[in-house]
Amino acid sequence: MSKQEVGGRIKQIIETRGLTQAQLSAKSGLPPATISHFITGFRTPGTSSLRKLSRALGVSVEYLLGISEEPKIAGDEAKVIFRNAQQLSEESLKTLATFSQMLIDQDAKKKKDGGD
Amino acid sequence: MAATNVPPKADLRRAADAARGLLESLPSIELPIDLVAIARGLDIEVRAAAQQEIDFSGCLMHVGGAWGILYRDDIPVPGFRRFTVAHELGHFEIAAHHAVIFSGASMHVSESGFTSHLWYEQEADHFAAELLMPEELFRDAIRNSAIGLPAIKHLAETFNTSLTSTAIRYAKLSPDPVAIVVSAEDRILYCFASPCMKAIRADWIERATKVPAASETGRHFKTGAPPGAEREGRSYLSAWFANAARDHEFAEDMVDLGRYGRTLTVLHAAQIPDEEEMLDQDLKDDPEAHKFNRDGKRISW
Repeated sequence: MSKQEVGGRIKQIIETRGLTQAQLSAKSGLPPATISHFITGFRTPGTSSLRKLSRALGVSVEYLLGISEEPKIAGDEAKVIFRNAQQLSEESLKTLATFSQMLIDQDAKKKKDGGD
Repeated sequence: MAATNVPPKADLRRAADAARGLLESLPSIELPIDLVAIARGLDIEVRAAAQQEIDFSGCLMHVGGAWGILYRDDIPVPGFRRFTVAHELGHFEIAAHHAVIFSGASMHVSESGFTSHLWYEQEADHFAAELLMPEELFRDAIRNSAIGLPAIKHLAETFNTSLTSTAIRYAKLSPDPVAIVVSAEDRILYCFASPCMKAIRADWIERATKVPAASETGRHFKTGAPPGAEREGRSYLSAWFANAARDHEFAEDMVDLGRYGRTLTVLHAAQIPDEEEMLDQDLKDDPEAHKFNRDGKRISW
């Protein structure tokens, strides 16, 4: 998806919800000029900004990027990219499952504590 | 019209820009780069795993709203472990990589390395090099270093990076005539050369070419030596680079990397002499040689 398309999607969401760019700025913690640059396609949001927008708008990063047409944030299915992996052993799969659960638990705790 | 199936090409500028953007967002930059602090700032959990727990170097995981990096910590080279974590941060920071992470199967298996052909792995490696060895700081450090293997060792210590990744960065950014060659079992795996070596086409060796016998590295493979063994000597550019536009004797430093029987060779010179200088040197080296002046009159040395 191009810069303009990512910006177009953000614009579409805030218009549908009747939000202003200033309100999105306040909700996401991103400066108003940055929001404007994203929407006009002048700049591409990096991962950190995408996460902030995703949380502020309650939609998935994949949806903002146009990778998914599903706005909802994914459930507990882990997505992983590996370095130097050929075939995963049983032990690796177990370790990944434990790590995945730890991330889910920590994320839930953060949300509960209001840290998110 | 039939669709063409051209694999995407790595956008190394995008990768470098992402790393620079991340560095610029930090309150201050101190060497070596603190990856754990960076990951914490991005709200990414970083965990080490033992060899018996995972059979891959590292991974980036996204689950629910959380992100995590898992890496293998039994690899005895700290720089390699740091490169793996920085590589995974690259997948996180380069937004275009999310299409790969989120595509298809829930677990995307890929291989990497300094010569991976996958565009996103190349970009993540480039990102990691730029993040761990920021260009301007690395150029400054080169200026304050010796030349050849001693320089690479000093840089690796300063940036807390592996000898191999440091050597590649050194070859790419050095203002001197420098090339680095990584070999295994008497065969060349890959090489990188500085811009002035490219100018004389001494920058490419076909993979699996035999290491030149008339080199210190060639003698190392012939005689064998313990891991970590080093040799110093001299070898000719033409022995290594079949396409080199000029030939010249270079200093050759070699170290056995101790992993998978690999060696790192550093070829370097203070400068590449021009043809006139080389002719003068040849004449000086040959006591029987003579030189002619502009009028064609023979002058003895």
